[in-house]
Amino acid sequence: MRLSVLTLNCWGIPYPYFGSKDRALRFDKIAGKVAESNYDFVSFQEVWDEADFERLKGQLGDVLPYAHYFHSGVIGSGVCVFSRHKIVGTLLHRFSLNGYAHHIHRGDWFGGKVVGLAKVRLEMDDGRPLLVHFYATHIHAEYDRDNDLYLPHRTLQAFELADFVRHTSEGADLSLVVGDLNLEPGDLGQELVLVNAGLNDAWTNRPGAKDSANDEGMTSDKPNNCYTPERQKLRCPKGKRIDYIMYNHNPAVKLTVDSCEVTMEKIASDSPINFSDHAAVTATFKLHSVGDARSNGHGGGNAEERRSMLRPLLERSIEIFNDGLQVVKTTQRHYILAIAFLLLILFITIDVELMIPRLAILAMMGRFATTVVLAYCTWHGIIGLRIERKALMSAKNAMVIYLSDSNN
Amino acid sequence: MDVVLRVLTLNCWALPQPWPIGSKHRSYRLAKLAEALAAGTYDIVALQELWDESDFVKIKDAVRSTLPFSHYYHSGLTGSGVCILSRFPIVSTLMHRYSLNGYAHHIHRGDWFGGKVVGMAEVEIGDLNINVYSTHLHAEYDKENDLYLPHRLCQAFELSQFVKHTAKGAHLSLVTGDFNMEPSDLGYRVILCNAKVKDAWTMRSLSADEDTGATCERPDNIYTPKSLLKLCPDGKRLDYIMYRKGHADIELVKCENRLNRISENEDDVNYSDHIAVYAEFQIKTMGRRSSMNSSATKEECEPAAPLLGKSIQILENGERRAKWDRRFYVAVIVVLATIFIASVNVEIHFPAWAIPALITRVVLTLIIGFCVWYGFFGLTMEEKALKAAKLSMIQLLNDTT
Repeated sequence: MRLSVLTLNCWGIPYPYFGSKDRALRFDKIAGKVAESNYDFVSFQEVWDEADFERLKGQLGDVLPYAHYFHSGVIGSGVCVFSRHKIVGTLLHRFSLNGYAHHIHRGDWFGGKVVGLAKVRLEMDDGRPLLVHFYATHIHAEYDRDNDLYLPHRTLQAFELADFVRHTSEGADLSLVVGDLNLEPGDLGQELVLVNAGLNDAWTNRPGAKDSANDEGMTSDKPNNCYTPERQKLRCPKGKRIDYIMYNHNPAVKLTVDSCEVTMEKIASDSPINFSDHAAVTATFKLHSVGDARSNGHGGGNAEERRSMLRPLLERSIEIFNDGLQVVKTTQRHYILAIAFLLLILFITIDVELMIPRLAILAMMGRFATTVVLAYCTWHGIIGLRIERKALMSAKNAMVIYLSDSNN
Repeated sequence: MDVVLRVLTLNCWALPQPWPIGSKHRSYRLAKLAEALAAGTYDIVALQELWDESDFVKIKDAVRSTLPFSHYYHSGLTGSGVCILSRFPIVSTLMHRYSLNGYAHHIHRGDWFGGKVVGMAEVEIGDLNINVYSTHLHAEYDKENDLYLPHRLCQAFELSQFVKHTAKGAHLSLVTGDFNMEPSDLGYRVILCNAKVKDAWTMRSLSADEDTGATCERPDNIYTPKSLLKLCPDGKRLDYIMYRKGHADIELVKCENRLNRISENEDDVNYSDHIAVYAEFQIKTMGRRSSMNSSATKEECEPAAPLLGKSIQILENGERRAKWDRRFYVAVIVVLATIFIASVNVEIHFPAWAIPALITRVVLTLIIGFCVWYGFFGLTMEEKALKAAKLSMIQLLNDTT
């Protein structure tokens, strides 16, 4: 049998002014294009408005009758899945860390990023049942490669993604992990995902991959994308490959990658507008069953190899977490200083309006703002940063356990 | 190969804060607990409410010779309080933080800060893989008017989903901990049904001198408040060892309560305000290929649909309540903002009121700030989490096989 998969970051920020350009038009075109195609599984990311999801559901209902939105955070998660075949169960994992609430120019924190799982039951050509686990995700954005403030969070998300897939995919015949990882091939997080979860990248496993070394399969910040900002074009002139379709399968199922392409760029050959600021990735798999042997888990024989590949990745990740923990310590000190400073200001200005009555309203507003900032600093400095510290320690300890196991 | 597995779970009640928040006699009780664990023959020990990491380290060190492997699940502000100790190697761990866990502003409860989780440890005994889960769900507080019911139900559902999805590779899965739910509660039934686990206490072979099985608020526990005894004279069974067979032959040898009073001495106290649950299993892997699914248990568990239906209703009530709360918070913001603005020149007219006016305005600012945050963000996050659980349940109802 053949299974066809699509993933696209739709860039669907719904607010006026800050929101994504041409959103209504693009979503309409996205729905139109997917409705006339033949996909079995589709995942969209950055569908922030539930109304957009409902509209997509309506427009895709004939070809992809089963759909699920993974609700999380304040505005998110933005991740949803559509399936031609019946979804029999879903599971959601919210990443423990996802940026900072006060980085409002980023907004990731409010998105409540997740990895979502949709379980789908199919029947193969010989009547044998096939259980497919369709995972979709969207990891925190990078923003500044040279000084990645969010690196500990992003590494933790990659690790939690890999761990989640590894632990929940035991019973599946085929696991598909798709989405916008915001990590490039070779990045620590991306390797962590592939190695820890035992996944293969459909793009690097596509037929003819070795011959077409020039085609790098870029999916974002592409020079011919009308939404790519000029400064990105200068920084990475070719674009980045950050959207993936990854897979692994039970040895009882034989699988080949029939094709893997970057697609859905311009909405029409004569139009300057792109479907999104990302391009889509699509892959087709050919499957048939190989005997009745159902083995325990995936590729058990490669466990030793996996462990030795995993070791340096975990060690580098632990270093990153240690850096992150150090940053938390220094930040806590800064926040305590800020709290002291703000309290001092409030105290000093106590009688300002008695001395200069005209300043009464200004003083009141100033004190309101100062108090709010003070309250936030107290919350984040004492509680928020401690929660961050625990999340980093939690991931670090889990990794240490893996490393000690490799010694056995 | 036949393996005997001896499992213990205990809510240690170890709040490290000074009186009145902290737990009474904490250091003494934990020291005695460490002694009991080191002297006893346990293979797997799951502890909850061990809030202070240094308490965990002390116990870890004390039992090092019999339970050399361990893991503490860090989460939230003070927690999670959940840890697992094992005689056999822990080869990997996984943790799931519940999406809903009470309210930050219910500081008289404190559950929110605990960052409640279900922690999983994969334990390897030779060729056997044992998945050990330990958890501590949000407390009930008022059975008649359970404010936290949607959250607790959501936690029970997420626990069952987590176990269901991660248990497949294991020969035996053990789900232990303080569920803060009784066998008659909907959440308990959802866990049993969705995760396809069995309750070791109900599956035990009965003997003559039976205990009630109550693990909390027992009349023979000196920490049980008198007021609770009046409501519930026998105590409640809130702590469990549940199990699920994988591809191995499992026999429950025994299940009993342990670690009640520290000694026979009349003046001596109990180990905790809970007592421990102990279960012993025999695992046979004699080359016999048992079926991978625990399909034998399917007939014995409740049909899922009515349980999920009731749960969906409770979650929808939670969503409705959150929407109503938002209107309330907006009203509060408007009223407080009006008071704030109206008071603008009060100290110019009445200079003596300068300091009280300032303090009142600071307090008003904090309350307005909280109401804005909670009304627009906090409640939205709660609604989304409830919706996510509800949709997940609806998807399960689609699975008619």
